[in-house]
Amino acid sequence: MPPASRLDLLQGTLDLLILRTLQPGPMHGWAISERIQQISEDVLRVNQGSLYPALHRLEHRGWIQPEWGVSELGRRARFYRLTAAGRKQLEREAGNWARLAGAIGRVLEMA
Amino acid sequence: MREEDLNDELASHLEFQVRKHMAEGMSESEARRRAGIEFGGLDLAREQCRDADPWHWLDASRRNLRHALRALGRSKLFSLVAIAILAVGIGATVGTFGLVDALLFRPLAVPRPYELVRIASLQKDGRLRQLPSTILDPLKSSTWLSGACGFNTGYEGGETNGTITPIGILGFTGDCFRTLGILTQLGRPLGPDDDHASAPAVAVITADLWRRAYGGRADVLGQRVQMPGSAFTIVGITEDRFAGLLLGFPAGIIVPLHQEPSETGMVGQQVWWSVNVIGRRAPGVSAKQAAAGLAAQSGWLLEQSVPPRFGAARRQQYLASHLATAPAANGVDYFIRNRFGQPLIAVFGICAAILAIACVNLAGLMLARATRRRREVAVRLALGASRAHVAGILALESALLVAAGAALGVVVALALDRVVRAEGAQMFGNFDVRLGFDSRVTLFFAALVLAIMLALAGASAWQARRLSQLGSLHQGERRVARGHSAAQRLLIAAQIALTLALVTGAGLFGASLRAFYNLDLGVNTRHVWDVMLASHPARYSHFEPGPYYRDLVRQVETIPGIRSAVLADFVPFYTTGSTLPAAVVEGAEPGVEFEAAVDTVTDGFFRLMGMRVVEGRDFRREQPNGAEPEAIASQSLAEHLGGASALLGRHIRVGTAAAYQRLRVVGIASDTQLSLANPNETHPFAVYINSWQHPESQAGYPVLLLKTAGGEVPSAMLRQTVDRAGREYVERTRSLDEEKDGALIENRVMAYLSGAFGALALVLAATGLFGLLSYQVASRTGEIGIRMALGARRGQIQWLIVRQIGGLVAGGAAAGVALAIFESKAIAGLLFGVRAGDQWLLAGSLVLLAATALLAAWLPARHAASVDPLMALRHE
Repeated sequence: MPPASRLDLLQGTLDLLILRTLQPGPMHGWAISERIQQISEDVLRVNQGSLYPALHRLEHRGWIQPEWGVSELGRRARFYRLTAAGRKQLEREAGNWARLAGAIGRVLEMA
Repeated sequence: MREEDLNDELASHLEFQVRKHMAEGMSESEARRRAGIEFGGLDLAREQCRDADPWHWLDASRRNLRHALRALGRSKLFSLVAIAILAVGIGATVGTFGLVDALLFRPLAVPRPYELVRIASLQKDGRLRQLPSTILDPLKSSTWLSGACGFNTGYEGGETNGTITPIGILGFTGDCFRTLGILTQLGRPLGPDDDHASAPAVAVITADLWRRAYGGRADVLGQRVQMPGSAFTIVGITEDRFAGLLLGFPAGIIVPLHQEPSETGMVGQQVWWSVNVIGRRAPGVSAKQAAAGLAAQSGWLLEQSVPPRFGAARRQQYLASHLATAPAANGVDYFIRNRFGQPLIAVFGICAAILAIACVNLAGLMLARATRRRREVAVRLALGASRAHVAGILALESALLVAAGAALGVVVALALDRVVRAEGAQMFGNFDVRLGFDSRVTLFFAALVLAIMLALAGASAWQARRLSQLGSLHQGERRVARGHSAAQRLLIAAQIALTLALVTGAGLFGASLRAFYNLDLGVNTRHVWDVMLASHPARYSHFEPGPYYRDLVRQVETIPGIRSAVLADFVPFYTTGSTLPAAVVEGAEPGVEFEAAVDTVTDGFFRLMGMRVVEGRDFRREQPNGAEPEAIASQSLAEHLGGASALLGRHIRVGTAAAYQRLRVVGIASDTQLSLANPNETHPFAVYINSWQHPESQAGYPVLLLKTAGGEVPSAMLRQTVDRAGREYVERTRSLDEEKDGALIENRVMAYLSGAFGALALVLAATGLFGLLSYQVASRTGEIGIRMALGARRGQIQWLIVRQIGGLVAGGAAAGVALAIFESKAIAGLLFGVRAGDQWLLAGSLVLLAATALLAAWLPARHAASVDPLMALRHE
């Protein structure tokens, strides 16, 4: 069942979603995009072309750490794990997002 | 991250997606298509992943480098020509810059060299003359100086460690080390206490001599250097950077002035010396203030410093001297800057101009190449490469070419330096300058290469951008073509004019040099050698020249392989013999004098040199008791004085020396030219004096002239013989043909340089034409295709291309002819035996130029004719 409408991700929010998705444990790229789609009940759809550049960017910032493992299909796959710096970054960005969302919500209610 | 890893990661993602769609019920092919669409541009993602890596440029540049090398490898001819032109251009420019710097601008290797100021007597012709050392004491009291000292220079063979080696000498007054700030790396400097006649003879040697003669050993202090007349104990070694104070002539030994043997061969006899006076300006005193300070003190200084034993006339003359200051930061120069300064700067200018033209032409070639590669550019852009990326690739290719050219240029520059040093040493004995890549030359080289790289890479990048902007437009190609041609054409026409002038100049200099070598000098120099003898430093004692040299000549003549030997006081073509006023003693009107070259020679000189004694007889080796001093006159002189028979038996006088006031003419010798300084003087007046009758004249700088049986001089035997005789050693042996080469060094340099410049200009003009036409052909491929499709023949197409440069070459050549005529008038003074406006030479140059232009045009024309009309039209 396709949802009523799909939302494109806001710029910059993809990083936050990736970090949050990796919080429970390591995952490979496809699983991350599936997970985001699943949890958001298909509202958020990750543009697959921009997923990997984002992963590589986070990797070079030191927020996530890749390691090679074997996927469910028996293929070599790259699993990403959240680092300590990544956890801190996640807390910061999550806090920012909550403040932003709260602020926008208040403005929408009051105006 | 490695490329394969990234590919693996993306492939595994797609695989998951495919599996997911298949699980939803799609067929595999449908699932794959879907997954692909969902993912979007795989290449783009890959590129963006790479960009995410902060170090990705390193990886990318390695890839680009590989690519650029491959691209250059594909057009080998282009790459080779470009690299060769850059190598020669950069090498010549950097090499001459090194020379200009070393000879004109490099300061002395002492602290704060720009404070140094020379104080000298200014001559009417603008030259600076040395001053007597007596001026130093009054000068030191001047407040505008913080110190002053004097030094003179010399050059002798000295014995170090048992071997004799040529050594440049600096004679220092006591204050020189302190005033100039020269430091020693070992031992101590010389001080005022050393500069006394009664002080022990000590010396500081330069680091250069230390390495050369002692292998840089530390136990050298206390060892002795034997110079002619005295032995010096080494007390110190200068720091490495100090090479001397006389431009072009490195020093080896520094001795106290009072320990220098004076002209009489005795130490300490003189109480003053002629010295180069150098002072250091006091802190805060400008050059102008120093000059004013000297001017104010001048009269008093001269008054205080009149050397002892000056007669009234000499005293007056001295007091009238005009003292002046001159910058001394570059040391003291006797003639190098005067003689070579202007030509050097001119040559440097020509090199730089040629390099600039070369770069412009290379840019043209690159334009043509980029235009021909516009399809490659279009394909790259279509595949998603950014414009910056494409521009970067083309820029990298040019940068690589420049780098390769620069690397080879270093080799060229070093080779040039070696040639200059060798030629300089050949000409001036101990000439040497520290050339090569010191900090200033390296900086210049780096700046030059960077500038060329930026210019050429910039031009390529700019062209790539234009191409990428116009890539899809058919019209664009032609628009690009028209954009540059006017400026480019003008430039090439100017080059052709310049090239013609340079080629004509090269022809003139070459013909002039040939005329020199073809000159009939009236001598036969085949198998004739000259041997310069020098006093053995350790055996400097009183001796009787006459019997000594008679014995030596006899001994030398017994050496197998040597036919005859003669003692002379000059080296033909090398030393300029003296020209003295002379006159016939009896019968002639008093006061009728003539100038004649006067050479002192022993018997057999004329036979050895292939000359003839046309009347009378040669000198004799043994003189009968009471024989009159003899002379032999040249034929031209005899004719001038009324004929050979009228002159034979009469007496002439030469110069002012008492021994030469009454010489009996015993023979007339055939005319000869033994100097090439005035080549047009084919019948100079000459007087030869019998050396055996003037033994005192033999001891100066004796020269042995040898005629061998055909081979080289048996030098080991000769050395032995000279050594056994006792007091001298062989300083230098050369054939007279080598001496001739040496005498013609300026002519040879001009001929070779102008030849090299001419050839380079031809190559450059050819590349310029080639670049222009290649560009045209590349831009007009479509048009050519249409013409061929409409039935044009290959020949017609080739003509279409070649025709374009007809006007260009003709116009350039016309301007060039005018330029060449102007030029040949300007250099007429440097030419010999060739008419400045020689039309055959001009015609030859024109033919050469036309042939080069045709060749340069033919290659692109052939390329145009090989255009496949179908291919060309398909792209239209």
